[in-house]
Amino acid sequence: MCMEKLRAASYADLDMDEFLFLLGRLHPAVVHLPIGILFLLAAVELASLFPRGPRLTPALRTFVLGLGAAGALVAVVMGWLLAGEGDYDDTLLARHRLLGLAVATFAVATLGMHLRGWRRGYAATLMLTVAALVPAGHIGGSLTHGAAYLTAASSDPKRVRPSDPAQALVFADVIHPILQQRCVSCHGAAKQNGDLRLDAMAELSKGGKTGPVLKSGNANASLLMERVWLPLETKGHMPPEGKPQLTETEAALLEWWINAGVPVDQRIADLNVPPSTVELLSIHFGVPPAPPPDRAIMLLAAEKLEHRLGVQIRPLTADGPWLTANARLLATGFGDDQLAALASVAPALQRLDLGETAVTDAGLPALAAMKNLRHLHLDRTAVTDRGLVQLAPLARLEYLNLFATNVTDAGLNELRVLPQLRSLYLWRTQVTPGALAEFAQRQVDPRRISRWQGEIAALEARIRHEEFRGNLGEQMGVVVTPAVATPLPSFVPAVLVPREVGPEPAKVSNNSHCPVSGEPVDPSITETMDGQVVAFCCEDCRKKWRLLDG
Amino acid sequence: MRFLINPDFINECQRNWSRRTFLGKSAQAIGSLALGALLNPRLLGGAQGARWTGVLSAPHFLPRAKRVIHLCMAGGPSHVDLFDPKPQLTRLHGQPFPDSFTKGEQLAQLQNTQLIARGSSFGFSRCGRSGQQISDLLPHTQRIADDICIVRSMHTEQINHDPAHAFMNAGSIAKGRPSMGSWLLYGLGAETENLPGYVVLMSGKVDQPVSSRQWSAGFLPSRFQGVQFQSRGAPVHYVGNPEGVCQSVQRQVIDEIAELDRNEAELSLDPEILTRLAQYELAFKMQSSVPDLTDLRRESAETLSSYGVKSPGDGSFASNCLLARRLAERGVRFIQLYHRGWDHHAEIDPKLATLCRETDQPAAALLKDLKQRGMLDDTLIIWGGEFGRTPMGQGTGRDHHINAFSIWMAGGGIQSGLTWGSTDELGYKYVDDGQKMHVHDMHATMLATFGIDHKKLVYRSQGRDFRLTDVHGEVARGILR
Repeated sequence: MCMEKLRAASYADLDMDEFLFLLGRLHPAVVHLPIGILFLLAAVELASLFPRGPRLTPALRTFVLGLGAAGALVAVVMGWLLAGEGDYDDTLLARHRLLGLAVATFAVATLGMHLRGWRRGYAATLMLTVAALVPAGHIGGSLTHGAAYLTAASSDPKRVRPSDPAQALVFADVIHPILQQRCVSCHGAAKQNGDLRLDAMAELSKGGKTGPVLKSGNANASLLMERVWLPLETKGHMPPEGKPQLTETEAALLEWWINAGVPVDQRIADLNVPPSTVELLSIHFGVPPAPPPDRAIMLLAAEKLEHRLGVQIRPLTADGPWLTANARLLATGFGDDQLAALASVAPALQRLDLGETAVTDAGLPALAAMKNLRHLHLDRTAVTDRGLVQLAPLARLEYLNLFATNVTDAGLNELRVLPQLRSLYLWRTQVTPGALAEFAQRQVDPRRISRWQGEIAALEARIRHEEFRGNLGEQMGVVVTPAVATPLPSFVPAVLVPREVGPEPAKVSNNSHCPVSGEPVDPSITETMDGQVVAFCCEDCRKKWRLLDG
Repeated sequence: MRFLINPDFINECQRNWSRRTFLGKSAQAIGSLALGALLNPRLLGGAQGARWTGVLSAPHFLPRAKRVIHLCMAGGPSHVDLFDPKPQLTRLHGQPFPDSFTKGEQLAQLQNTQLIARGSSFGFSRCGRSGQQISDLLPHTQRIADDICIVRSMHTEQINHDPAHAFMNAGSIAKGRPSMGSWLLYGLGAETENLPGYVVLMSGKVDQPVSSRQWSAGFLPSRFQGVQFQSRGAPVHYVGNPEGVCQSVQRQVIDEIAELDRNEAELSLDPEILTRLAQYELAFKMQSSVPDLTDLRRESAETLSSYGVKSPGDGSFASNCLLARRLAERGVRFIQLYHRGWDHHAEIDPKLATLCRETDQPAAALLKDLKQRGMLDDTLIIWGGEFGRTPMGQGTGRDHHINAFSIWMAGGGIQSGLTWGSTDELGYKYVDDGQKMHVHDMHATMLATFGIDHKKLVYRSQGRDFRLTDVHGEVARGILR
């Protein structure tokens, strides 16, 4: 039996299975009381050895021992039920069970010794009780929190994480610590939920109950990432709601690692890491982000360049550090040399218009320094596929205009590494429609979009649930509906919805609560009936609904 | 206090402070005041021939648009026939228009007549993925439905053409207010110095002229006024040199005149002299930039046919649209195209069809052409008239209507595929639901696409700060991308 969540609406509706499940889950709570009682008793007995220490009356001893022993027995029963849930490491569990039984047995024996009046036997069994209690408790903690729980926070003296991300080992310094911190408490040596261990590479490759969790080279198809990407409220989301979650950076690093073919022993510097991932690593390693360029210095440099070259370089906004440069109207008067001269303002440039200028492939390496460039116009220039290779370092580029240039499908391929590229203009180039369609599909992550659509659907369902509808009847002519904040545009632009790619986007349902159980719905579990989409909280309810329907 | 009423003192005053001395001395004082008012270093900077880069050093927040193309359908196109289907109105066709709507409202020529509802004779279709409703009279616009945002809740305050144009352009009917193009030039300057920053082109029947005050700079220095190019024939007359005068001689002449003008400017500090200097420079540069503008040899036949241009420079809307695109490529900030003939007081059905045929294809082609050149992202296109037409009939036509009309906007930071705002079930008045768009709101939103806070672009004139939206205007945030 493995129930992760009670389905009953209230405790009065519990059936036997659920009741036992509940008892088992109470073991960690209940067990601490007899531990406290027995330890206190032992402490008092120890203190009473001293002349001025406290004294226990026999009646008190009986009472306390009775409570302690009874509590221990109840805890043992509950623990047995919890063990039945499975997923605990067998060795540890066996030890804990044995020790727990021992504690209960010795506690009862101590009570017996006391009632019989055997002083020495009483002392012996009490000492045995305490002696068994310590390791039993410790193993109990290991079972719940993981074997390394006590020492988890302190750093491993053998492995010091390098401060420079480039020198870090991929698995040992980047991936392993993430898994260790977020996953191994339930998927490690002490506990293997779903028969899955994530504490070592060998174990990761083996996978778990439903199969392998990693598909090298394809994060979209990896079960590990699928669980991480599910909306938080969904049943299958990992780590489970309530436990510390993976940060966006950590999830993105795992995704990159899988897509890169799960490298293990290499250093970051030896791998071909795209600039966006370099940025993620910097964030992850706590390297402070590069400060934005100094506005005053940049504006001075911009003014000098304007005088010298005639390029229009203006601040993008009144108080930000970014600049926009326009060389278009200089036409042939602006070439590769002038482009190189823009180096003094390179870090601050966010928009650059080089359309219709005399810039060629040879001048494009000057763009590498413009790390913050978002808009780039290269239309009607002599740029070719070779030049597009130079655009690879532009990790922030969103808009690229290559209209009327001699770019071909091969050049388009070079642009794959630009993670933020969203607008690409290729009229009057030699790029074919098929190549562009394929490029577009690869640039858009359909799983991420369907995940977000699922989150939107869940939020919209919540908004609808919050609306209040008051009606005093037609004759009164009054209907009260408090205004909902800014109505959402009903049209989602086509470019956001990838066509013929990946799984179908989540169907939007009308209900926010499951018709079978009344629980909040999981928007990904739906059934369509009479053109209406109905959502359920779990698969069981969906099955029940279909049976009802006949 | 005795000295103040000392008779000697009073005599002294009477002697020295005569009318003559007062006028003489105050001229100096007033002159100094004028100097103080005029010493805007940026305005005077133009005296040295330096280009105008805008009174704002940069937009207040992130800009999306760099230029505007305003397709003004002069005369007032009918919204219930083109962008705002009203089936309820069609059902009411021929019957008296409900009093509850029109009681006490301002009407134009229909004042004191019996008001009969008039439904649209044309069908509407839902177009594109967005499903926006556009009349079948505009098949080309139907095909760009996913790129435009139709605003149905436009309304204005002026019911006749000239004041309404002034209101649409300047936000006020008072004379001397600058038009929106002039405000933009004042605020940001133009990207080009070889062409005027604000260009106006006309097309359509000449029955209702559009006054040139619509593109005047008002109280702003006149270097910011719009310049009308000719749509028939050469856009600018006398662009070439006269016979026997070569370019270098032209240059010398202009330099000499500029020297004289500068001397005069130092003496009289008249900003209009600086305008003159700037215009002479511009005219000199236009001698080479205008022939380049009109050189259509590099335009492919497909482009010309997509716009529907039969013969470039024939004065048609299509030819003007093509020219507008070329102006946009050359860094002009505000391009305004007026197409006259939409004032359909009679025979609206055939006339509307004609006007749509004249404007539909070129407008859609302009948008598509900008889009494929990657220019739509930073070009704001506005299509619309100065007001709308009544849902009540006027004989076989419709009268002027101010309470509701439709425009569409595209590009430059405007969401696409969206219908913004709505009107009541008969198309009489806009619905006040947070999506209304008054002319002032349109101005505020337009400035917002440039990253300009409409409350912060001001000019001091006659003792107070003026702005395009004056004391009104709300940015329609929901329409911005």
